[in-house]
Amino acid sequence: MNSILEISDMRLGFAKAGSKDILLSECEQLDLYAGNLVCLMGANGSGKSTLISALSGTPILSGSIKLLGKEIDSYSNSELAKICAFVYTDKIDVDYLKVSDLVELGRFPYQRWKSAVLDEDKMIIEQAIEAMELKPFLNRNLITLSDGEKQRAMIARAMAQDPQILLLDEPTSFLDLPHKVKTLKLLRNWSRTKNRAVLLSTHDLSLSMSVADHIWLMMPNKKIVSGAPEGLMLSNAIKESFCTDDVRINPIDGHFEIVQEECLKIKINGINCNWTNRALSRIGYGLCSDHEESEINLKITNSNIRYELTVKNLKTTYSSLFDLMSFLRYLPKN
Amino acid sequence: MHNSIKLCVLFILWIIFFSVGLYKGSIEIPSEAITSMLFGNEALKKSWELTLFELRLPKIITASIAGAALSLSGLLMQTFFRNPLAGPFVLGVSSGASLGVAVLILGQSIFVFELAGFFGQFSTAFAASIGSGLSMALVLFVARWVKGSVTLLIVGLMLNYLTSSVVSLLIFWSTAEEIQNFALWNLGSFSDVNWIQMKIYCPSMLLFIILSFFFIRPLDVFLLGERYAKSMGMQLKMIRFWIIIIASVLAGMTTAFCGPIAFVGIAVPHIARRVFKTARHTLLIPGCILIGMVLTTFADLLCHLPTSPHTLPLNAITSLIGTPIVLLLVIGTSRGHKEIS
Repeated sequence: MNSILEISDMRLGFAKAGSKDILLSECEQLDLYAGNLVCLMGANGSGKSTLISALSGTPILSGSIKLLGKEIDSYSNSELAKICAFVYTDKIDVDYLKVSDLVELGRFPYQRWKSAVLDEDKMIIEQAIEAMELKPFLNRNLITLSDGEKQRAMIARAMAQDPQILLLDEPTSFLDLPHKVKTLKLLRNWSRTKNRAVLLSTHDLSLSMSVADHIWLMMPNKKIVSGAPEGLMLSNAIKESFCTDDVRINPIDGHFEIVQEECLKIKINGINCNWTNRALSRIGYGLCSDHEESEINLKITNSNIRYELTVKNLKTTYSSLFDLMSFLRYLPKN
Repeated sequence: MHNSIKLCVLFILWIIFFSVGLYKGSIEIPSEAITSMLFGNEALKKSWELTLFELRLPKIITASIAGAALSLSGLLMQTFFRNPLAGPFVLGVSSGASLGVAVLILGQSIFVFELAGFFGQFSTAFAASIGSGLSMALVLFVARWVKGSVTLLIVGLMLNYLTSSVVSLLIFWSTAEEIQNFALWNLGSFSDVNWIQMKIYCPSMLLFIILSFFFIRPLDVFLLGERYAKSMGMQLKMIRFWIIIIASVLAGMTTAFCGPIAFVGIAVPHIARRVFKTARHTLLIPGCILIGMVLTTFADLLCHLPTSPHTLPLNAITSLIGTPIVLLLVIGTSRGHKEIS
């Protein structure tokens, strides 16, 4: 495989005059390959944005960053702009800026003094617009778009730079779920069809797990580990960096769960156990295993879904889960 | 309407105001006489020739150029600072000029020698140029050290406060006549520029206006902010330096020769954006120049109402025409945005 970006022995952080440097993260070896989408993950303040700005030429504490086999320092600003394109979190609220004009600005590294008019420019602009499905919005003003559409327009501008690497700083953080998924899907398709690399930082583990080819994970011990999403899950790296006393990862589907305090045990039999169990665990009820007995028994019957609750010898029925929970919530916990 | 038609309409409007400014004024001169004088024929009366060539023509040319320069300067500053409130006053350029003139006019009773005597008819312009030049130098000096444009904006604003306090201190020690002279300059006027001064003013303004056309594309990129500009490979320091120089010279020299003219610099870019419905400088730069020219020539017509011997203060007129236009445009569009979102 073709490594576009090669980071080795890097120490990332801030140099402080007169005192010790502030180290955010370090790594031995990180590679970014053409045609791959990589998610950069880690807690707030772990250095995700710093790593991204290091790729725009901001100096690192030590180590080497190689782009296309050459040290990043050896590129000029304008050469770098043809290899790396960025989408930042900066809010752009320019009045009367049309989407088509915005995307066209991406050609600046190639056409510095006049508008992009060459056929090659037009073709790349067209491809960027198609890749981000922006056709219907071309004549719209940027500020009239929704956040999701605006983000896609900003990404298309970066794509118009025709970069080898597209770097995005938390591109999905203000988007709703369908827009998140769409944006990531379009980014992945672009990287596959154009054989370019995409590196994006995000906090969304379950989405990264499903779209990323690679995850670069900034661990609490300041090391950056990389691997396929499932590999990181199996090696417990994800558990180590995300799980706390309050959060655990469901080992089967990889979703986060909030750890609930369990006070009372309840025995459930009947249908829809899964969802009922979930609801009850939120208000502090734990499920009995098959051989355990409890004073609280719940029977769910199929016809019109009825909940039959037996506490000690008192029997009550409920027609909705909400009513059942309202009762159980105020049951004495001893 | 197509944009090139809009530009043409603006140009024709300017031609109309320009001609009206030549043909009408406080002194009645027959139109045929003016036409024949313009074509180089001998005038019937010496006073007509004086009025046309020494008063009206320089005044209307100055008005056009000042309008173009101030509007363009405002546009550059608004784009550069990404702030719709930016204008020639914001960088402290205009107040620097005011300070220079204040020292010249008001300082006479404080300083033993008379400054004005040294430079004759250029004295006001000279003092203003030194003032605006110094504040420009200060802003540039700060620009080398600080990164963000917001800090520059604050430096400019602080300069404004400093200047106005020094001016009020000077006023405190000045005679009534000096205060009146300063107040007159402060009102702004296009009629105080004579041909000798125009030989300096016009070519330099034209040069810097033409220079601004070279920065159309970098200015477009600046709309996205300095971080994006840098990521697209722009040489930030060089471009910043030139944009500040162009904006400051345009505003500074105009203030030096015509006094601080309110409103034009900050308002015309807004009008241009709404007229052309674009953020691209390919259209906005010529648009701002033309709208600025139309506005100032029109304002000047209102200052010199026909048959009236009085001249109204220019600053009052520019603000009177402009404020309602901008308010209407701004309120109109912000309501439009709400309906969409």
